[in-house]
Amino acid sequence: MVDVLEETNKAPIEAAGKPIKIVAFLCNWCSYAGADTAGVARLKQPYGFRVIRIPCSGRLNLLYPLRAFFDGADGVLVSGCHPGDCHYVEGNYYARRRLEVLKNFLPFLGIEPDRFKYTWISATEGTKWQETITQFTLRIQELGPLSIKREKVDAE
Amino acid sequence: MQNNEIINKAKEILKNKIGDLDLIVGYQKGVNPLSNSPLFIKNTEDIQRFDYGFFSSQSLPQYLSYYKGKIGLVIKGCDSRAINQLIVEERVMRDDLFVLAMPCAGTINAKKVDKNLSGASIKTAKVEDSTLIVSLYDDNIDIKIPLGEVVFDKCLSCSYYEPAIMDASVGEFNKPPVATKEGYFDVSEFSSKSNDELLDFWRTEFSRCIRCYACRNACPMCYCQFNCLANTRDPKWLSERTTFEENAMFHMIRATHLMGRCTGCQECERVCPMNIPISLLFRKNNEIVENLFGYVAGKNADEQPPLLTFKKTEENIP
Repeated sequence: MVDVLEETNKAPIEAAGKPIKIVAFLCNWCSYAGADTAGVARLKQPYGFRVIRIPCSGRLNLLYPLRAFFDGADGVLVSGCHPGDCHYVEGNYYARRRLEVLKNFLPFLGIEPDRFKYTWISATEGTKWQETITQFTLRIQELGPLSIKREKVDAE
Repeated sequence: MQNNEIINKAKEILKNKIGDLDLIVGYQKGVNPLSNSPLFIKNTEDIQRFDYGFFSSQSLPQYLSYYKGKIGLVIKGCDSRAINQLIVEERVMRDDLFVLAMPCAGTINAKKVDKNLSGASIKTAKVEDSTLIVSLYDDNIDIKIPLGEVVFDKCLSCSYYEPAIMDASVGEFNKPPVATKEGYFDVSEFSSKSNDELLDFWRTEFSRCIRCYACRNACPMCYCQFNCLANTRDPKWLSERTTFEENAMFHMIRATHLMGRCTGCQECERVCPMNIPISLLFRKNNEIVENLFGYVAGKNADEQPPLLTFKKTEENIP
């Protein structure tokens, strides 16, 4: 995996000639700190994902990932504290139910199920974050750009 | 029981109830012979216009969010789910309601009839022996259409013919003869399509949307009214452009907000001027929620909606 990272760390990852866009919604207390841990430990990560920090995975409005998809994201990653470790005690239990419904719903719109992923990463799991984001980026690269934006239809 | 008997019995029941209730919402003959209009009953004279039958397609529980006070409602079996869901969400109090349940053997979708007749204007319409008989202004010939072709999609897989909530009822509740299909048959037809086909399908459908918001206004579960996300300026979720992305986002707002709450009345499709099959989105979400949490919106008035609660270990979520 390190070889891939050596290459990917230098330039944006491209698929079909376009840099791919990944939006990562990370909870403030665990996953954001986990990604920070990965950075502090100088773990190599693919270039070109955008992190949006949210207070809690339970704060994630399901319209955020949908908005990201319709505005041109190729993949959306949501990550929060492990169930049971939520800073707000039960936020991610609610989030888990909602995210699972959304994950099942996206294929109905024609968005491949692998383009949306939700995981639980704690503040110390820098390596888990590195693995998750790398694998996710490579998978999105395989899938290529999302065709929502590939051919735009102008409304009459 | 003949339809006239049912109507007369219903009239009697409603007549006795007028004093107790501020308003009774029922059906009357509509301008279009294919669809009944709602009838707002406040005194005994209004009751004379009461009508009910295959053309009473509108779902009346949507008015519960607009009127305060004690309300009587005339419902079909499937409409009872919306009332239950509104009670679960504490939008209406059970004590303020009087529900008169009517038997239903499927309701006519005027759009399907129009499509069948390619838009010819209709003079009269009636249903006899599972056939819709319409006479046109232009010809003197009666046109017969089998009922299965012109009823709503929800009627084809009807399993809610018995009302889940009622105070009084007329007639017997039997499974409608048109209900020949099972479960989420229209949603499962999509499972064989590829991602590109699905995206193309939704792209064409959503691009046609003119964002009149009729679907939202007709929905019994969309009761935010003027506080709807689609209208807010801050945060500005939607622009006024009617591009595919913005239209799709509007429908996503409704799809996410109705997750596991849609009671399947298909009012959104009935009122849609562009004939977009929007209710597919909600039915898909209903199917997911039913598979994951075993919850059907509006089946019981005391079950907690699944997205408002959680379990520490979920059975169906990895």
